Amino acid sequence: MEYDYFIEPPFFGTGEVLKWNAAALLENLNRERLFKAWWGGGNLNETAYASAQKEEFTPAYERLAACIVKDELVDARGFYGFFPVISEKETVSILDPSDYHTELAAFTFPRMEKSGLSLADYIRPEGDVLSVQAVSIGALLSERSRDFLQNQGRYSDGFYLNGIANFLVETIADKVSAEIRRALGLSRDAGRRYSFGYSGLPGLEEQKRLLELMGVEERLGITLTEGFQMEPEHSTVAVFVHHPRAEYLS
Amino acid sequence: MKHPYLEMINNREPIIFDGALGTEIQKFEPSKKDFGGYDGCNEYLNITRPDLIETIHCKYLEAGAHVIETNTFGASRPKLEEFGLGDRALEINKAAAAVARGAINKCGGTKNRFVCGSIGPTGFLPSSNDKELSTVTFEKLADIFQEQAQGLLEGGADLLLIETSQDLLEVRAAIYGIRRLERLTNQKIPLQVQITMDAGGHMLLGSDIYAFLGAVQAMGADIAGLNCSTGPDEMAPWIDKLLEKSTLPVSMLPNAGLPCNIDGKAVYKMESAEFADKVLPFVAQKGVSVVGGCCGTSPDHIRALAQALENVKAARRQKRSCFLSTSISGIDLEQASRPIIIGERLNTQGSKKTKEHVLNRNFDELYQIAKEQIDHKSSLVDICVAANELDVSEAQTMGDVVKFLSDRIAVPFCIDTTEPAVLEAALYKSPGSVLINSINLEHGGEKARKILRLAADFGCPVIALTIDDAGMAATAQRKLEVASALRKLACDEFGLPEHFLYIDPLVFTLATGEVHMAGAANESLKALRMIKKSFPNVRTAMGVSNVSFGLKPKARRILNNLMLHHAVLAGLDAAIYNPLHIDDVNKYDSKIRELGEDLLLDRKRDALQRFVEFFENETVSAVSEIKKTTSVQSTLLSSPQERLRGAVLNRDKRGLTETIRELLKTTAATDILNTILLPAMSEVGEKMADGEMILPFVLQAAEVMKEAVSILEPHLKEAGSAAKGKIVIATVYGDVHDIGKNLVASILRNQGFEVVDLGKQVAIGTIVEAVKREKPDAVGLSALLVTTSRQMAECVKEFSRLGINVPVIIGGAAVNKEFASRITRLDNGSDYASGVYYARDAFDTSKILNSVSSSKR
Repeated sequence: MEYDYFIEPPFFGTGEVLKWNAAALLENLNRERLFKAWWGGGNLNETAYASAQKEEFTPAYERLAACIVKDELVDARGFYGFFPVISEKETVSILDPSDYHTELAAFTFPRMEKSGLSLADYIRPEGDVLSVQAVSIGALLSERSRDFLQNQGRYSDGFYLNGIANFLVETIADKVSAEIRRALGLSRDAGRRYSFGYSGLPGLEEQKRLLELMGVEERLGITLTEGFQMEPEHSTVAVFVHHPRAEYLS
Repeated sequence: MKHPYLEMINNREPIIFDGALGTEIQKFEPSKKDFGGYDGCNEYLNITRPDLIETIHCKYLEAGAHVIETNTFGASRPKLEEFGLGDRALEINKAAAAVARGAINKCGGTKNRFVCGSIGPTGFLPSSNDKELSTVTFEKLADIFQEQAQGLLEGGADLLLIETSQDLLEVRAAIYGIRRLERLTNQKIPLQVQITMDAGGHMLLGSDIYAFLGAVQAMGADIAGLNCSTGPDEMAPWIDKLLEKSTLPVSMLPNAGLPCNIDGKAVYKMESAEFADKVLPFVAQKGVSVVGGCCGTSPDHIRALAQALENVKAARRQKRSCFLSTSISGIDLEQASRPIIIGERLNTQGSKKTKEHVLNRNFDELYQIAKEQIDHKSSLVDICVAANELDVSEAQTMGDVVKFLSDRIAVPFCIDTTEPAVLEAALYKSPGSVLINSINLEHGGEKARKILRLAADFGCPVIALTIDDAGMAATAQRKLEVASALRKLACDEFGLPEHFLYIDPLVFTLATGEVHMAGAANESLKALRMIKKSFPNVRTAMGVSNVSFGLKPKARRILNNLMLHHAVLAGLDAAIYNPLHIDDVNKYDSKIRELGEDLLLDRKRDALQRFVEFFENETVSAVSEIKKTTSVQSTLLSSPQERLRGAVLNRDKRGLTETIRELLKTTAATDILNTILLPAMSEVGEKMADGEMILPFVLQAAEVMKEAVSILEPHLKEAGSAAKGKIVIATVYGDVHDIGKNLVASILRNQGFEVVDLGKQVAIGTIVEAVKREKPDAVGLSALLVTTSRQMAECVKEFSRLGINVPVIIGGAAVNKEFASRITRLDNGSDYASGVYYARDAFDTSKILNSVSSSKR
């Protein structure tokens, strides 16, 4: 593995909290992807999708988007940060930026059987930069979705809102990753974003330490349940690895 | 030189397979030591306890089985890898085949005996979209099967069986891998392929019999069949289809009936005598070549089967066809769906327009009339050119018309004449075979004989009317008698195959009002049934519109369609009819249908009068606007039942209150719920399973359902209707993702279940309290993650510890069927008595809930 890059982050630690305007987000969102990936449209053939998009999905989206804006159900916020790290075998250690020495946290990235790779391989052992990010849209949208389903008998609207919530989180997570790439001078597709709990990453239990380090509770109001899941539900926290060869491992 | 196994089949000697192996192994109660550390791996017993396996094989051989299957059902590499034995696949398969070969040497005697290498499914579902199970490539699968086949053949297998298959793509990979091995080793091995289907004729991923045949027949399977999942009764219609449609020999290895759930265990109750009784006719009468038993069968079952089949030959399979054609194309009447519609408009005696065109020799216009009927899906076109005003002879005219149309239309002809000369003229000009309409037994059958001579020489099927010298047969009994005489003449004397004979039992008009004719339609329907019963291979035809001759056009249309509908149910194969006037009688307004059927089926004395009066009213102008439509539209003739069902299926709430109000006039609220609404939601579930309806639409249907139920609510309370079942549902502790659970709860509620939703992050203690309080029929647990799904195991344990006995249904991305099985096993080695079930979605859940609720009652 080669590490012939020189990365200098604009700062160490976490940056300021960014906010996005909900109306603007909903206006510019990729509707086709929402309809197909989250609203079940992907299971329809071409002709059926075309008519569903026209008669069902688009009117429903416009109606629900207006409702989200009016009732201020989305509070889209996020931030990113950088930490100095070193790696050894499968372990990545996050060091205190003030002295590049004190270990603030260590995480294990299991080596995959098939490929023989570990995400730790993408970190220069002697010293590298690990980016981190966190986003959330708040709890109100998922509460409204739940209300529709459980109390109002508006099942499809509840389902649609849940899909919008998931898609919005993904959208703003993408935006933050783009900020990271800009900050580090990377190209548009360089690097990958990884969340704990997925293949090749530490389990959700290890999130606690990372969240503490990042201060997500104070800044975005994100807490962990006893099952180590995030509340509000529609939030994500991730590490961003900039290595040019970084891939999703399985 | 044919392989002896295939030779036996060729000689119609029934082949008997062995029965279940797993249960026979269990009877020996193999110990941990026997399994050599690989607990539960039956296939490993081939290595550690070959003596045990040999004993079982011998039991089946002594019971009379020709074929014993090797103990390798789960011996593919991936299945063995579940025990860490993947690398020993070749060795284990070879050992298993050697054990079977040894058993034959020891106990086989002198009969024809065969070792059949059993190849079961790998667990992968390559043609599904499941994230984990579809990730294997075709080539990888072919390698896996090739390896297994290699081991089996090296160990001495005579033939190979790909069985209990769930996925047709996997089956094809297996055939591919095995054929590749054949090429490499330069040997040819009989290959038998069996899939498993539910009682409805569908495989796990929805494939039907035709998909099965399309997958394996051309790819070179030697024998095709079914095994497992069902008993002989449920398997019957699909075996019949296989026998009818496949050119391959057919195998049938059913379970000993459907299992009963006794204390959470599957118990097969069909005894050996009953099993043999049910399987025997498939061989003796229908021509199945290979039989045996699957789950629940034992050496006793095989012994009974062998005894029943002693000295019995497999019946010859009948492959019936009846091809008709023009110069352009043709059809096989035997394959055509019923009723075969013979367009009736090209008839000078029935249509003024046609007569005009024939007299003026406007053959282009005749072509247009024919084309219109074909556009409305006629399978055949009737041609009659009889007219007194003809300048040229009828025979000449018929010949000219036939020649003109023959290379312009692809739909075959029905030559409408009783004159041999006219028929002959048509036959001399037609490059394809025709249906002859008709013969009868007047004048001792003199003309009939001439026509039959032509039919025999030219290979034409014939419509035969039940008329003899005593006149037109009016009663069912007389119709049957004349039909019998017709059959004797056409088939016995002239050698016409029975399925070439289309008996027309005639139908007389109901419009005369004569009292003694009021039952005319009933007599015709009865005759159809009797003819089909007495002569199952003879076909039937009818000029349906005769039943309404004399009534006004609108009335005729209704009565004709009702007659057609009932005649098909009674066994009508072909109808001479105007295809432009075909309606779906289920879309008729119930009032009109009732009046029509009162007349048709002679249910009321003044039926004719009331029917005619109805059509005198102006409000019935909409009758003429009946369009042939497949979508459920709210027309004047759409019944409120149809409209309510349509509201659910089309997710349309409009007019719901009015529709329900109208229904409540004639139907009780509970009936509306149980016979219209709940079945409609069931249909929605099926459409979702078939991929026809996506989730948001399913939810919208549920919304309509909810609205409909709330409108019915006040009426339901009066009747005191009970819920179908009760479920306590929760997302487990530590888990916040409840969208799945919420969707399931919504749908279940609208299927008539009572749902107690405990919410998300629910601690086990809370669930226990709820169960004690609510006494539900089942508990539903949902979890998104592997970590939180552990709560499910803890919950099952806690239930068991506290003596709580309620079935647990689990769902969520992190869990599956295997997980459900695993957590059924408690720490002390016993199983959680009430069972843990995995449900894919709400409809799966309701199926499970239904079965556990009913078994409680």
